[in-house]
Amino acid sequence: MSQKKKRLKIIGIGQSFRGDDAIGIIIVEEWRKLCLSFIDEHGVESEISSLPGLGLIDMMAGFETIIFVDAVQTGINLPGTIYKLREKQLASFVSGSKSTHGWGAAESLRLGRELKIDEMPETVRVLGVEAGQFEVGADVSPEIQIKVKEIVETLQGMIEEEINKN
Amino acid sequence: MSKSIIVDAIARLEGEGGLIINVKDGKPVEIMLDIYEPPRFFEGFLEGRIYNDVPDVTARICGICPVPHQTSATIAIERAFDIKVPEQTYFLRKILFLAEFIESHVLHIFMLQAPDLTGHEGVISLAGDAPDKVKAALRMKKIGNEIMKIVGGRSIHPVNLKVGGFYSWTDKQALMDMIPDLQWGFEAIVEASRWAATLPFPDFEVDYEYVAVHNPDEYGVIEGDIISSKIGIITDEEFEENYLEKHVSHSNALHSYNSEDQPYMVGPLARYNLNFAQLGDKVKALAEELGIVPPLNNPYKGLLARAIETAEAFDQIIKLINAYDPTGESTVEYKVKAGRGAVATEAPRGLLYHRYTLTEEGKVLNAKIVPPTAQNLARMESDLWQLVPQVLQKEHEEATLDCEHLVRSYDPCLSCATHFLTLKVEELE
Repeated sequence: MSQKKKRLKIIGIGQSFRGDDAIGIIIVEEWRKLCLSFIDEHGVESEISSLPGLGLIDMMAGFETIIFVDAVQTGINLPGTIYKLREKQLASFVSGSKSTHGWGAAESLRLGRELKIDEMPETVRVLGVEAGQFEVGADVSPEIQIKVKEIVETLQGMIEEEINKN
Repeated sequence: MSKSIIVDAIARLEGEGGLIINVKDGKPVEIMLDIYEPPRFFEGFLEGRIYNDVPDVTARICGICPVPHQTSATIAIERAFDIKVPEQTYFLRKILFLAEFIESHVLHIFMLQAPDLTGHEGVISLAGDAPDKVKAALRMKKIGNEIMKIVGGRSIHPVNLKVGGFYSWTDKQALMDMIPDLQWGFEAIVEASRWAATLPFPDFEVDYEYVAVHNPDEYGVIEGDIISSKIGIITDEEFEENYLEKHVSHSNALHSYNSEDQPYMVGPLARYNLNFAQLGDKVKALAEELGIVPPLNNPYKGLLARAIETAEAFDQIIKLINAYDPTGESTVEYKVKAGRGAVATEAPRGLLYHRYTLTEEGKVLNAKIVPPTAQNLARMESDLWQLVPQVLQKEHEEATLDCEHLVRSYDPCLSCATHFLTLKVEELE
């Protein structure tokens, strides 16, 4: 029953009203503007998710590779620190999740894997950005705002790596 | 100061909370569900807004149950304007409404409560043990979401409902195309109910006052009066005289009490115990076969009521889709006028009350919204007073889990997280 999967999808995760949690949305929106012709040429799909709940399993389904862009909080590094993560590294970020309702992308991914759903992607990568604060109604922290271009470039780099694979 | 400042109604919403149990000499002396989610002030910022904004604004109260808020707001305003909507509008509203029941109930049964009953930390480890059940749950939930999307335009905060009807009629064929999925969903929840009936529910019973919407002709969720196991049937307009909200210092959500200052229960157990006779024949027969029959006075068994209600929802939606055949305009004509309208509906978590007073231009003069979780908070605390002495001799971790499980069994909206409770058992000097 499984159909051929599409190549790649970018999913930006975040809440626009919760401080640095908005970064996943902002980066994907900026990337869409700055890399418009590349996106058209390669047909890269992207989606914004403000509720990274169980629906994320469906959102991931049917693609070979997913790149999430999300705020992370290790509390160890400075806000704005960029992480390029592989799926196996995600567990270490789970418990500190500030996602609403304590359920985030990592949990949806683990559930999808646990259930062995055919349509789940083979490769999941995460572009994480260390968050400083998740205040309701606050803007993204200035030290992260000045890094938006750099983060978008990192995302584009990851996308090109994936597209040029094989 | 000569004049007191009295805030009669602080708008509130379920969000995040903790639990504090203080123990002295081996007995609980203080039990508090600490609701620190900030108040949301919805009632306040509805004031002065035009009536047509209200359904869409109130939908934003909750991401899990926007439909009951939206529907309640719509019906209350229609009552204020003396609007009668046609049967087809009612059918479509009920399809939307019950789709949300499926989505919400399935989430609670499998993702939130079942792990407690099966010794799993959460749904991910449950999925390792029982992947087929969790897969089926995800599919059921998705069917509920799909129906909401088809009728409401999107699955979260749907946008099609309005005062007087809908912005547009839903395409009948799009709904008909869902029937095979709904039939599958019915069978899936029947199977899940059989499994649920075998789960090891803790032995714990409480003498509750149940309060729910009641309709003699159907399992009441939208239209009907209010029924209480204690005072019988009252009208929606009489709700505020009989059930009162109070502010307590440890909670940003108001607590509700009956007129004798006693807590009461709303939610699936209340509906099930009060309205069992109104279940459809097929579902009633299933419940009887599984021995899931009233009285169910064990709060943990809310899960069983949810399972049977989910079966009823699948069955009802199929019947409603078959009966749905819209003609003419999707909105009835009406005149805006000054008035007051109140309604009680059933959100998945229990009775939801909305009341609005509108000016002659149709602006909101005042609003009152009483959500189910706020009504259940005092009840949950009372249950904990009964439970805690029974679990105090257990290991701390086990006692914590027992208390958490009790609160989770109410499916409080503040517990969207499966592990929202921080239990502090403090031994006082």
